[in-house]
Amino acid sequence: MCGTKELVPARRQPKDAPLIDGRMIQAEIPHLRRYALALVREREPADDLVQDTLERAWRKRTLWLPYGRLRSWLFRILYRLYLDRRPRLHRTRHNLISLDEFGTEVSNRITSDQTSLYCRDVLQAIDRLSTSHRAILLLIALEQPSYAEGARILGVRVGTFRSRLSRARDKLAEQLMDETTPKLDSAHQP
Amino acid sequence: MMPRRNQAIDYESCIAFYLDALEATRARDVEAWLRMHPELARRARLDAQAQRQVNRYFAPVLEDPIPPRLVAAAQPAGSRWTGYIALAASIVLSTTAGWWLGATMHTDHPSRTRSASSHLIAPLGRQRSPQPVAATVATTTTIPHPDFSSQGYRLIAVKPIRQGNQMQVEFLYQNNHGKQVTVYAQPRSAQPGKHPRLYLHDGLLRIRWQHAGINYSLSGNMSPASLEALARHSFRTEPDKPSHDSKAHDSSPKSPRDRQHNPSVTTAADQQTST
Repeated sequence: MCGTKELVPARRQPKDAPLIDGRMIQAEIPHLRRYALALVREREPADDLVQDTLERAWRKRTLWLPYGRLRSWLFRILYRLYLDRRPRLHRTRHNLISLDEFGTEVSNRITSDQTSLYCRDVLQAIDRLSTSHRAILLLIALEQPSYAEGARILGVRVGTFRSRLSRARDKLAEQLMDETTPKLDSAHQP
Repeated sequence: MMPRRNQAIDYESCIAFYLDALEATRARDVEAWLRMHPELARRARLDAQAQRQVNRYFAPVLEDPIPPRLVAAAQPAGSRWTGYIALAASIVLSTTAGWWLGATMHTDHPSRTRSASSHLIAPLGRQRSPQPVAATVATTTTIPHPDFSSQGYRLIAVKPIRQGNQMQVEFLYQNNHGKQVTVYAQPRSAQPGKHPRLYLHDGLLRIRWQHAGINYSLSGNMSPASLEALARHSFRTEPDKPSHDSKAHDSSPKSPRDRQHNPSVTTAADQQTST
């Protein structure tokens, strides 16, 4: 199924490789903030998570492989930090998005009320998923990474990433209470 | 046309089709394949719709202004330290400049109107701003000042200096060529010896002697022999001669060998050892 070649090698940066510039990291901050906010759902804790990510990335900058995407490496650091502090950031049902808050934030970009309600249902369904499923669904929705890149971010094998994504979509469909939604087991998986 | 199974139309391609993220030829193939699998097509459409909703909901975050703390965290630590050093250097420079400007503005002597660079290269003993003679001579009349008039030096400024509980007076002399020497006078202090002696303290050469219960210390930007000659002629009534010959003063006390040939030249460390 998946060989060891699909694992992320723990190699050090070559000596002649270009070092990370501060501007390179700064350019990735909006994407990091978006993913952190999607995971945490609160501004300040999300920015705290991003700040810790940036500081750790700069301390460990020699571990970045220049032939990989810097954003993937930063996302991996952010995800690791998120898992480390998950008990502190764990949200209860009281922290779920309220309808009023949701309506004010998306009123300028959601055209119809039906779409807005559907978006709220989707986000609340994602909130009820496990951490790994929520992380992989949000990552796919926000960044659309390839299987290999997504696996590198989450620190799993490519096959694990694919199966986890499939299960997460199934869980999301269950949460959306759509009993008529077919399972992905019958989907064409080349 | 039904696509072959080995064309790798996976579920992600189906979602990408509903997200309009496929090229035209690829989209046609996927669309044809989805037409053959309506249940999967419906499921892919729902997942794509959910994915699009999440993406739209968090899209404005990309346009939000970045908090300054995140920008600072993304900067290299070296740059931040460079900024701190630059800030500290600017504070020190502004403080020093203000100190020098204040020193220049509070004196009316022509020698104080020189450029700041000439002050910076002057010996430490002359970096303080002496007060005019007329203003301070009354407060220091109890301490007689050496007379260097026979050597062409005249007293131009007197400044009392407080060092802890002890009082010290600084006498500044200048000759016609603008060369300056400084004498520090301190009553009831340690006994440096009655005759003039050379001392090397913190890299600054001084000549110290005692007269009438007052310790004098002479320093200036000149050779040891010149300083010695100046000190010998300071008090015309001084009957005693220096305890060493003038030949030893031709060489500055730089090494222990020099001190062996010139016993009168001592350093601060020697003085501490003897005491």
